[in-house]
Amino acid sequence: MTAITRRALALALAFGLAPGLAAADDPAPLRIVTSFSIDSMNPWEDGFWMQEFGQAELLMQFRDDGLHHPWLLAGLENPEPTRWVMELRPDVTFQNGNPVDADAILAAIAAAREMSSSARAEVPEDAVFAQTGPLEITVTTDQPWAELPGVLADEQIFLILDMDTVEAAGDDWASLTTAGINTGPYQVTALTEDAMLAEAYAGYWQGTPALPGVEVRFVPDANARILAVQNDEADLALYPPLAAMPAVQATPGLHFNLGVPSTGGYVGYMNVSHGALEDVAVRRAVLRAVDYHEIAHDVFRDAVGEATSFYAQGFPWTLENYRTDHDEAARLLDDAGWITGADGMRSRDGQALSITLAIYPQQPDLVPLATVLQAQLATVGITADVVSFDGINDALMNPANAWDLALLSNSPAGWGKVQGFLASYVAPGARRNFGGYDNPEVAQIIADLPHVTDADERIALLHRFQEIQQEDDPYVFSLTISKGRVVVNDRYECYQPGFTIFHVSWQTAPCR
Amino acid sequence: MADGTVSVIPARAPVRVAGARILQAVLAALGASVLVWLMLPLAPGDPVEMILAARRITEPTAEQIATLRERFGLDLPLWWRFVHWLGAVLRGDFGLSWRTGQPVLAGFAQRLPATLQLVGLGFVLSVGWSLALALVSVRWRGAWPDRAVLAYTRIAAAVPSFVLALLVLQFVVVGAGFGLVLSGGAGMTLLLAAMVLGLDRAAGWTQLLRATLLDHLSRGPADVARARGAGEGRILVTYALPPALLPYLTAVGVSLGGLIGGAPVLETIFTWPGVGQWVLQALSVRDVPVIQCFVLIAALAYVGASLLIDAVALWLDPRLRERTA
Repeated sequence: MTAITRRALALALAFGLAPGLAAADDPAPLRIVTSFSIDSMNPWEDGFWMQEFGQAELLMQFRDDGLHHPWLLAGLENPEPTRWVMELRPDVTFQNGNPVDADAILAAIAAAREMSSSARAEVPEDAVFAQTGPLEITVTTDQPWAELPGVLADEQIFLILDMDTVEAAGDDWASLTTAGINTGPYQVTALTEDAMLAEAYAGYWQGTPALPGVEVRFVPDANARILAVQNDEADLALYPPLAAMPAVQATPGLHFNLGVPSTGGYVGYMNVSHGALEDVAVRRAVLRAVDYHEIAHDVFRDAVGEATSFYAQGFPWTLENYRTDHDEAARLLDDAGWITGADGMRSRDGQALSITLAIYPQQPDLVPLATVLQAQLATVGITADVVSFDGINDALMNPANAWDLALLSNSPAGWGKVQGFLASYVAPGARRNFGGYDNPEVAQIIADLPHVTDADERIALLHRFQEIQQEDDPYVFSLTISKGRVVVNDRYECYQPGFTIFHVSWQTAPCR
Repeated sequence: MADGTVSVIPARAPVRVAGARILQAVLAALGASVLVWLMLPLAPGDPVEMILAARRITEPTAEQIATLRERFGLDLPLWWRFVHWLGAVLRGDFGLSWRTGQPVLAGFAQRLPATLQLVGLGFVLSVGWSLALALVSVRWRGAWPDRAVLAYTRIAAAVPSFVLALLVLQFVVVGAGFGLVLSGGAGMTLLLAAMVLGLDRAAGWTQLLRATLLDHLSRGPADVARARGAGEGRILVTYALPPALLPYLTAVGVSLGGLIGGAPVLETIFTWPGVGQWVLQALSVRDVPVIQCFVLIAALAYVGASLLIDAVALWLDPRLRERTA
């Protein structure tokens, strides 16, 4: 971008106007401040974030009902376990006017499979994508591919781009800024290290976008983002810290809005290799001792969802089997020989029932969570201390570090896909199987899941996994279910944080 | 000279001193680079996973990690990476940012003017502020201006600059409507950020200059001038200030690093588009090429600024020139 363009952009931002966007009778462009920056139009490393702000689109979309819905596709069918059929929409165009037809989609998929490491990791090598009708693409694989809908909904895999234009640009990513390579309601007009501007795309296939444009400013400091909304320099501040909620709620003109329970949250991992949690009775007792209601409602003041299950409530495969039962916890520990002493703490054969909670400084909300866990575990006689590791993933895999229960922020069902988490964190020998968990039945479930396309059969397998984790051989459990959160001004008071980081749709508009 | 002899200062002495200081600067920059190269691998956490997390890839595959590790050269021995990096730097190539993939030097050059504006204005304000306050404080020693200055220096020394910055942002920018939170390079934001930076530094410098001025006011030359009927203001400016400036300048030079080091936090809080904010982001994700470039240039800038301070001190005090000669 030239210096003149950058200066023009800075001036436009300073006056709250985007070039070509301001019209007297139109609502103003939506102004968003976010923590992450979009560093370039490189679709394989940076550009994939643009589906979040209304520039780009995917073939499918994962929604809060736990289902994948067609987005750029008109439909997705699975007539046979090894065959998926995509039905395309007619008359969809890229923002530069080129048609989004079967050729264009196949080109985008082929490029992603070549260029994107995420695509290479998730798409079976034998998968064949072929046009089988004017508006039809068929996907065939040697083995059933159950997670194709989730793969099509993952922004890091198959973003639909005008590949003719992308390939013509070579490595000159900046030339793609105004090339209209996406299909979304808002077309990028400028991208700098500080901001991205987009204006409404008049030919958008779903209808006329509700706003003249969208401005996204990249502001790493959370306090500055909130103050920007307070000072009317932005309408939406993304990723506000939970700690800011009381102050925001007490400030006139500011609102701390929360979304529905999402695909991630704080997840507990038990070290089953050594220490007190080698004893399955202690693990089960820990699960009963945790008061999930207190954590969600009292500690986090409803800013997170209560974990009533491993996955978010409302997903078809979720089994709501969490319960707090201190009597049962006590009974489990009694039966296992852990005797309560005069101080209320338990021991066995002279060994105190003591565990170490592992947290990490990048997630400050883990401090109150660990503190309340200490209190909750103490009620059943388990002593807990807390240790903080920088670089938690490496630290937990290092045998030199002593820990029993690690608390991490994870997404076990990102984009509606469950396989990746299970294969990375739970499968025996997996790269992030921190606690050395090795349950043959769970391992079999993880091995089977990728190839089970029948919905009922998948649900049965996932229910069994959740049963094992609560009742039989616990290892991993949710402590909270995260909710999207955003600070908004009065104009966007009714704005709800997008599910799966989908912040701007063609219908997003001021409330008043 | 008073005894009739003439001190001859060799013309090459300042050049030799400057040459030695430049050599020191290069060695200091090299030492700092080696230190950072040695220490960064000791920091916990995998830089590749941090970079991927910054790109929102929080659950990377083994292939993604391996690809980046190879691209960043992390599969090579540390000494080899350092030699390779140093060779490239000597050719003027600071490499690509791991986080953004953009050339480091271009990113640095793009942001440097904003940082120079902030640090430069902060420096001018802090020097001017501390000089003025110290003179006022000493001139009216024991009276309310002196007490006010002392109160300011104690409060400023106790309040961290980031707290002051947050208060300014909340009450001056948002509350009173001066400037913008999202600066975009706005002049009012620059002024406010520079004031915070300057006020923080000025407190210590004011205390030092005040103490030195008081010391010189009680020495012989000031007493002689007083006996000859000179006014206190004239004595302060003519007899106490010039010698008091030497330790003051030394302190300014020494704490210049603090001024430069304080800029990143303030740039982040005031969203000032400078090098500091960029480097803080790089630190958070262990973007080594950016960190190394910053360390090298900051070390050179720091030693360069110290050299400048030395030159001013030489110019101010003939005795130093004689000593150097």
